[in-house]
Amino acid sequence: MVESAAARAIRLIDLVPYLVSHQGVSVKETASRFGISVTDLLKDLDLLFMCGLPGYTPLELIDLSVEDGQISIRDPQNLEAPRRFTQSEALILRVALSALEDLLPQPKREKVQKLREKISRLFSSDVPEDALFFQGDPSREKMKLIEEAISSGKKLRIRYLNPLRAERSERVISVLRVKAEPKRTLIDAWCDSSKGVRTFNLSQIHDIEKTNEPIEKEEPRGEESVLLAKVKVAPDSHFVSENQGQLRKVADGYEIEIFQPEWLVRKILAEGGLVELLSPGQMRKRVGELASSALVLYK
Amino acid sequence: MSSAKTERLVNLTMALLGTKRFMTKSEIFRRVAGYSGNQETKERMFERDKDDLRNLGIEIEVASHDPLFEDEVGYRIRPEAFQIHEKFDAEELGLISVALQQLKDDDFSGTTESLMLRLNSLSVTPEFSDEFSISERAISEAGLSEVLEALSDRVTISFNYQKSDSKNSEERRVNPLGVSAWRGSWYLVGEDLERDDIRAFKLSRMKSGITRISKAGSFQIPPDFDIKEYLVMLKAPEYSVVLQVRKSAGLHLRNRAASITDYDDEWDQIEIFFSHENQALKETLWLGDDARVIGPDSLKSLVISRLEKLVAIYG
Repeated sequence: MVESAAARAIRLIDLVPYLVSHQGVSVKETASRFGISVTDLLKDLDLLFMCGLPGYTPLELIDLSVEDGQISIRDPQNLEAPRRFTQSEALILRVALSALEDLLPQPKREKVQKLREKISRLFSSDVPEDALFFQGDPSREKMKLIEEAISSGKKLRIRYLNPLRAERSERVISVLRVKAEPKRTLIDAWCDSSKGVRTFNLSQIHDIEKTNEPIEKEEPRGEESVLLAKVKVAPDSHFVSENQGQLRKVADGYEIEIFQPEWLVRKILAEGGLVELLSPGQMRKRVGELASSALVLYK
Repeated sequence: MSSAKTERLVNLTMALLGTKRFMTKSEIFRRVAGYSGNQETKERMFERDKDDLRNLGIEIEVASHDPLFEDEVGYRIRPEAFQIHEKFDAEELGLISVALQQLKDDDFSGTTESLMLRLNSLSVTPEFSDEFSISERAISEAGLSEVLEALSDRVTISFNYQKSDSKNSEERRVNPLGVSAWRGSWYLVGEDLERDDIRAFKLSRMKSGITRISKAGSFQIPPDFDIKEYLVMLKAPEYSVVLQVRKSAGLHLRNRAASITDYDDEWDQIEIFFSHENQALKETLWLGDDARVIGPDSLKSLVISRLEKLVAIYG
């Protein structure tokens, strides 16, 4: 691809302040910094050497020299300071700073916020401050602790809210794996209190604390058995888009792997008939029972 | 040929930057190196050069050179508009560099490299403090760089958009007004020209490339525009429901209930807000025989009809 004259002109303009602030820098380093070959850089420098202010006497030209592979610039004329951010560059920087701000706890985020405001003020923009808004994922801190526990091989103490029962339980777990699904993150872990492998929904884990106990070394047995259910979905249900990643299309519907049968039973109930559970029969029966005893409440 | 044009563009930039007064075209042709040929050729050259510099984001001011000769306009580049003359300290530069490192998409690489290069030319060494180090996290979303570019340029864009409740996508024409990230998903808020309303669009539901369909600066963003007013997920739920929930159940609803009162030995009565009727319906059905709707009546009859349907299927 042939480089446009304009793109090259911008590179020449950006080269000058770089050389001013890096007097004696090597040709090689400069070329790599600007992403060009040494040959191209030398051609750029030759060209810069001929640029200057009207009059174009030696006093008005950019004055630089290359000796022993090192570049020094004696007179940058009026190109000494680096080019300002364009409007779109300043906007991208504001977005990046907002995202960083969102990652940091107070009071560190205040420093980033001040800087972001400075950028908006200096590089006056037609995009107002409140046109950008960031809110990170609240489970990020939890994930960080879980990842640390996996890499350090330590158990975690968690408080878990089981929506099926009205209970909050404290458990000590050894995380086995993390399964990220489009709408939720599941944690498979050996649970000391229930002496078995359990699956936890990250959003229902309320507090996480590190412990110093090493994780269960021996390969835990008795993993929860995986059941295969089959469902038929009405076209106007969101069930498919909400559970992508767990569903597998088959001829007459979808297959879904389930770790907790009760979870699927409740989901099917919540769909109110838009999703029909075809099998297993046990679970069909449970859906029917729950629905009729709920109906009795209104009689 | 190309290197002559590069040289001329650099000389023109330096000349316009170096002049306090506005330079007229004839002055430019006379004094700036590189303009040759007949008047028409020079004019064409200059127009193209001017466009090139503006496309690179360089602001060229245009004004009447002399009040007595209004027909001759002049040009100049203000140093404050062209170069960074503000002070950034070492910590600020370090923060900017950490922030830019999050932009991992190839779409952004040209911008971030150029910004870093220029900031590194400020003769201040960026200072990295560990307390700002971030774990591996990337801002990466298809279309984000195009959306930001369009927002910055205030350009109308069009794209195919899939609504959440439909499999089909349809073309939308939108004036971008703001961008938001919400729990890892990116949203564009803009004026939907088809619907004549301000709407939010999830970037991941844009099913086609983004096309720019207007000139830059074709609309204004109101200075008091606040994107939060248009993000539905930030709205407090307004649909009020009264439920009775068995004492042993529904902890996740109790946690966000507006009020909980003791009804009898078995049931509590809770008042709770949902964002819409459908959410209330699903939450109630999910609880099976552990919850019953007291009001509103419309929700109550909806729940009953769904339960009857379920009984008909599974009973």
